[in-house]
Amino acid sequence: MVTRLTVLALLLISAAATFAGAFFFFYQGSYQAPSPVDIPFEQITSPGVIPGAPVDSGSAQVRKGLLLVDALHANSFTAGELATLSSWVANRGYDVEVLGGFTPVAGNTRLALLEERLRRADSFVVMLPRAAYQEAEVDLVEQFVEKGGKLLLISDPTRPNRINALAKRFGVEFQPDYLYNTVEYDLNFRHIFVRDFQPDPITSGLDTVTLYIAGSVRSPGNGLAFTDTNTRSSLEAGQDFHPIAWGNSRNVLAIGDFTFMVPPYNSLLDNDKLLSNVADYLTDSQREFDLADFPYFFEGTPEDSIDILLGQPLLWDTGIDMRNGLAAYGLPSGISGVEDVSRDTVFVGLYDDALPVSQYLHAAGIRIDDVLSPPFAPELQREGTAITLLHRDRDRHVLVVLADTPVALTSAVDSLLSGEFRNDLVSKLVGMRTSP
Amino acid sequence: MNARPINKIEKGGLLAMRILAGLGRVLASWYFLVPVTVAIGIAAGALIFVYVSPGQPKVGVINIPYTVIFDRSAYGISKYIDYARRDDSIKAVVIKLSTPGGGASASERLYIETRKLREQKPVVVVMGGLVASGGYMMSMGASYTYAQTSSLVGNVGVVSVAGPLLPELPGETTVFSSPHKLDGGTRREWIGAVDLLNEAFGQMVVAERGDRLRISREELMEGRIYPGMVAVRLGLADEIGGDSDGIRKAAELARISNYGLVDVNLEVLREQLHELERILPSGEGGTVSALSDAVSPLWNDRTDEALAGAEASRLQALRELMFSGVLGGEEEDPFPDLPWDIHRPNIYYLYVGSGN
Repeated sequence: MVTRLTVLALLLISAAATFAGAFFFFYQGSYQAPSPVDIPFEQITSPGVIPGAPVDSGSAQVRKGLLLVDALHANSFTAGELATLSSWVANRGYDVEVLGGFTPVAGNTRLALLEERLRRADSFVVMLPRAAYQEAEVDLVEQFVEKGGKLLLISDPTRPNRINALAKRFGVEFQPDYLYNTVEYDLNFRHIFVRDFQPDPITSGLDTVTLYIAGSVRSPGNGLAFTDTNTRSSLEAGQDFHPIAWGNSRNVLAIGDFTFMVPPYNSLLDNDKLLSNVADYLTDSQREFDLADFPYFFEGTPEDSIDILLGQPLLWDTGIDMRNGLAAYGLPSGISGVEDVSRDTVFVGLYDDALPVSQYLHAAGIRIDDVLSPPFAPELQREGTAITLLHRDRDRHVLVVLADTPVALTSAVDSLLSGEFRNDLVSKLVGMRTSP
Repeated sequence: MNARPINKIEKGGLLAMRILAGLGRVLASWYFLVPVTVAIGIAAGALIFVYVSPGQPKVGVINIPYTVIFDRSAYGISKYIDYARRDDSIKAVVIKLSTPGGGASASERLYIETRKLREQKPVVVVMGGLVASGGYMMSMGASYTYAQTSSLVGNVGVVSVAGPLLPELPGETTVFSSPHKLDGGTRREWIGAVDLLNEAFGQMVVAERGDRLRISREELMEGRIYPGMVAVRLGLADEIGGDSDGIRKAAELARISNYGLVDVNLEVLREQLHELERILPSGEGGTVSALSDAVSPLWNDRTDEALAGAEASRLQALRELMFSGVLGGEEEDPFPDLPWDIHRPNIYYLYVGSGN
């Protein structure tokens, strides 16, 4: 019995020893799993809706004018996205005309269309052109700005565009970056807040605007908005990036963000106020019109039509031609016997009928005797010549068309209405035509 | 009494009894009994150790070469993780990982699976050329991470597609039950949701890395991608090392030695093949058998080199067979009368590369 127990014990001991030996050969202990990691998801909350500040647009001045919006250069926005800006501008009395269909247009056609419509425009908006402006187009826009037209340039880093081809002429360069702030933002780090503004009508009444993916603007003009120390550029180190700035004159405004004017982002914080201020800027154009801009310097509304004065009754047919020609441009006019100094006026006559407009000739330095004595040339013989003169008096424009003979006068009027007269301009306000 | 003479048969019996008695004495002697008993005990102990429990420990190796994580690839990877969890002989797991991440949900699923595995067994991730975004999220589930100096690591963050600023309004023929039935919410809310997920990703990294993290949360959330040596310095990974370091570390964490290695990828493949053979009718079994024959040379050879060339192609064909089916399949236009395209979830934890 003892022997059997001993054998059994021996068996168990050897088995256990083997098991233990094997175990310790392979195992030095057991795995201690780490404590479960608690991730505080409940602390992550969504930011609330940012309220928009109401904008009092009742005090905005109502003026007449035309805002031209470029859509000739395959621009990267839609008509719907323009609606809010158009609404603000229209509320101030301006007409808004979108030039083009957002699709590519051949260069020559584009140039002709731009030249034609810029003659009429008071302000011009260029946003996100994917086709670069040609040199001749840039020249046109520059002439427009030099005449006092307001230019608004808008870029956006998220939409492909080649606006710098135009902007550089005005000292503005939109950087190919985007501004971001990982410390404070609205929903996304690229949606930055801007609170530091240079005192200016554009920034009047602004406390905080939020720009949804803005790029920085380099300009020799004053920066109007400054980013804070936590805001960085995707490309550059540094601080104080300008998403809004003047160009090389107060007639060129550059904004490096497009989305702030598109719903729903326009209604957040002071974005609508900024848009209102931009609309004020666009509708406060002091654009001067030259003779080359004929007939767009005339207001010509049904309530305030253009008077056509004739030097003598024999010129009636020429006056009718002028009236019809103006009507073709959508400008109502009528033949009148007496000058009304409160209305735009066209005077059509022969040199011998010039007495009623002598003050305008005198102001332009033109004397008509047996010969013509213009300030831009030595004395000229009257035969076969015609003079066209634009006189500007505040908001009133007087166009004087004089010729040596009725035939030369008719030719001069035809030339005006067809646009050929621009080849005869000798200055911004005077044209001299010699009939064959 | 006269003794009766014994015959030959009796003599033989007596001799046999004497021999048996002698043998019994020998067997009963300590000289014999002790060694034999000990030998039997050793054998029994060894058999119990090997065949009952716990046996030779093994380190399971899951190999995930460059893979974009989406629903189907995540399904396959989950199978590997699940196998490593179920196999009791596998005491530690090494995941050789290279991925730019992928779908948000699929990436998070792999993070959760890895973390659950870590609760049972140590998991060591050995980062390959790229462990970014959702791939980095997955690696957060590991107990320990190795990077190579040239690995690209990090890129915490979310990408999504939010649609145009002004969406096209539904036509009058479109009938839907509530303002956001079609779009699920405004564009702004969508962007807000992306921000929430980004915050959650950041919280996950901060919580998982804890004191090991030597980068501010703000810097982390900038989504940068770092070379492995920088990632280790910043605490985004634990150490510079390769596959053998990972295996050694996994064994160390599991407190095992003299371990074997298990190629989990091939074990899962074998398991699935057997499962297919079991469930398919015999008529179709021929196809499976043919496939089985095609990959059988690979079964006993677990080196990556064995997976090269034509055999790798056959293996890939088998994988595709196993993971294909009605579910998860592509359907170009399942509802042709609907005026809209059906979009998949388009939130990604994905590194799209410096070329972008």
